[in-house]
Amino acid sequence: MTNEFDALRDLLDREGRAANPSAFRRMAEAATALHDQLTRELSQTVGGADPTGYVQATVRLDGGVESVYISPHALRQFDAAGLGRACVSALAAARQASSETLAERLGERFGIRPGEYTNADLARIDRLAVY
Amino acid sequence: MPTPDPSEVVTMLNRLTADLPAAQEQASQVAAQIAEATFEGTAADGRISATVTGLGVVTKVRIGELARRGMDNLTLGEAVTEAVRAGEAVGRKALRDRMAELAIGGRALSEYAPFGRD
Repeated sequence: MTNEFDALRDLLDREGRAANPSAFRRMAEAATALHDQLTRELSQTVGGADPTGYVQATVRLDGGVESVYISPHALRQFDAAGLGRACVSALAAARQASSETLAERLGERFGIRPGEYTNADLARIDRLAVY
Repeated sequence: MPTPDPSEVVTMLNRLTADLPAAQEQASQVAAQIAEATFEGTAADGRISATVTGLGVVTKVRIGELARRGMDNLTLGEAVTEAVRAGEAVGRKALRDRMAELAIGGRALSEYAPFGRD
């Protein structure tokens, strides 16, 4: 299956030895496109809730916390300590969902699966993306 | 700008190369220490606090009783979010500061990389 990540790697393998300006430009464009798409993916959000469902958290796929929603019912139901624990629980559920969704998206949309690419592959593409 | 002495450049490069393995090891140790450490962020004038590990896992949210009674549900949720983000920011700053202290080739890493940005 062809995807952006494989296409970039093929381009690097094919053109890497040629070292001509147009090849470098194509590699830079491919790396930038991949970087932009990854950035868009990482800004997507997923949610999680505490076991009662009264407290909900939303986090981005990059792990950053977007929001915490405490329902009016939670405010009445929990004391201060219980409310704190419910927040921790909702944040943990949202982060778990975020990790799972990220792994799924990287596999589906970029063809990146754990163990499939070496650190050297990733470092090489990362260096290109910086320039 | 004066042209550098080639022998000085070679000496500097040799020193950089020699220092890299130790710097890598130190960087790994710092990252592991920060990952295990916890950092606290607060909101609503300290009435709400969140404890976050260096990996961003929220281990505790403390909501003061006065905050629970005195704030509406939406404001309370926003304050919890703010406290968590503040804790994460403290953790990121700690990692940056520790990494910036590492030395390669006799110079602090902060002289090579932009550690000031968030």
